[in-house]
Amino acid sequence: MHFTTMFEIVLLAFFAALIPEPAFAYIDPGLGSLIFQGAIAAFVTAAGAWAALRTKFREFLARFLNNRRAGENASE
Amino acid sequence: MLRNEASFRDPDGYVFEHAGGVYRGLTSQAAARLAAHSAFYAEAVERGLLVAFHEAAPAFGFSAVIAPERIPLVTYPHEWSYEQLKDAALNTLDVNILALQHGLTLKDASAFNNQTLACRSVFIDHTSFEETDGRLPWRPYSQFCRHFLNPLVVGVYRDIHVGSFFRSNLDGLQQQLANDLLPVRARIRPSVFVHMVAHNRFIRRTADFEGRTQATAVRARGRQIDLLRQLRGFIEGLSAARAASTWARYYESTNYVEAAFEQKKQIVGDCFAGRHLATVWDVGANDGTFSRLIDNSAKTVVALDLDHNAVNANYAFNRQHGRDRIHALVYDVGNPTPALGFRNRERSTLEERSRPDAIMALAVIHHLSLTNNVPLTESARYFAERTPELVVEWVGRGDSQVQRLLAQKTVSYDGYTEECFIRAYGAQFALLSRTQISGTDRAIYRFGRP
Repeated sequence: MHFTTMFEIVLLAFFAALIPEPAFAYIDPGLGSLIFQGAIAAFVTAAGAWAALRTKFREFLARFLNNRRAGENASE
Repeated sequence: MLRNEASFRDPDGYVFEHAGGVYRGLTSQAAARLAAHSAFYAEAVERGLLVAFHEAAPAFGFSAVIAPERIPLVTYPHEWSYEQLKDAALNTLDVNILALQHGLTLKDASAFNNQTLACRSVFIDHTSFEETDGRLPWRPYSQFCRHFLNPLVVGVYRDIHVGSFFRSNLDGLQQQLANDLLPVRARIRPSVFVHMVAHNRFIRRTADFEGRTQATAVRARGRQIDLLRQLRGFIEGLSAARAASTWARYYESTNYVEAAFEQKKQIVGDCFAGRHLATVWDVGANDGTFSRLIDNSAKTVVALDLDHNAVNANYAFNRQHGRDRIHALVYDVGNPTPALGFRNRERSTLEERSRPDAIMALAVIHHLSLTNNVPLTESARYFAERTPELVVEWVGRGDSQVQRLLAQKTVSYDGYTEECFIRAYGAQFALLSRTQISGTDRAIYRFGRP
């Protein structure tokens, strides 16, 4: 799916969420839920990438601080 | 052969009991899948995500039969505390993430497919897996939201009593109701907005697609594993709201002096010392302080309390300290777990799943009598219908807690006396011993079968 199309679907889901709806007597949530996952694929991929980036940054920061502490201890 | 009443939805096989063992019969397709993905099943069992099993001799017309490890006590989401439901959610995601690495995914994500074994949540349905290319959609997504995500998020913002949703609907907390319950500050969180608010609106908007689009034809770009990891990260960060709790810190503000509390522990410990019972119920277990006194004397201690915070604290403590004989469950004597589901046989009462050799009921009778208005004769019947042995604490009218309860009443509860208690309980049981807790108007009674 082209990025622009994906963006439009996410945008549509966003605005759809803001519009009040009358209650339906019976809705099987299965199919809508499956289609919905196409709309949020970009979100979960981005969230996954962000989480991986955050983990890498934390690991880097921890390594950096440990090295600095080790350096300070050595100089004492 | 006795077929499990709850095992009828999966066409790939069902659970049955035979000659004292628990088995799962498999169709030829399910047996082939199990054999083809043996590496996944072995790793899932080794990591404690999936209940252990071994192959048994084919019988009763099945292509294959497996014998899963027996769960000491089958429990349901409507009896779990927040942390139990959260552990089950994380376990469901973990087992599915591992399955994806082996070319499998879950067909369903029911909370009932998880049980507690050795203080950990473990997946019990070996036939819930099917082959996948790993692409979205993840078919159990909607069910996962109803069974796990929705109640756990509502538990953060509104009320910790999330398990109770399963009592009114075994299919969990529906999207619309979950959304209605959430405050605005919750809805604007990205994960809540996407998985709950937008998801619900989308389901309702696309209702007219039903019948025109084949569910199997729905494909989407993106990987299931990304969705599952995102859900996992979000759920792991959730923590329950601190609901107003009468009991979770009860022992910190009790009216006992320390010496009396220690004596009570000694008396209760002596009642069970050196014994080897199968099952003991601790009714009104609070945070499990007294359950942990007796868990060397029974294979299973079922620690029951109506207060979710207390059960949560009990569960978390036992998990942290490996007290795996204790099963902390939400249970209200005044409104016990009912039989639910198809034919009222899909999910049974606690009494059908657990038969105690003894019940311990400490500081409970006065609440039953004075708060729930259950006469002493009726509470005696409740216990006699369930157990041959009872260790029960009598809290007299001179006790400050009883006086507090009575002060809120307009009737005098003249029948609430120790004489009436002995008469009512003596009609159902044989009195074995009475030990006064020094410096209090409380006594520990031990009753047996007449």
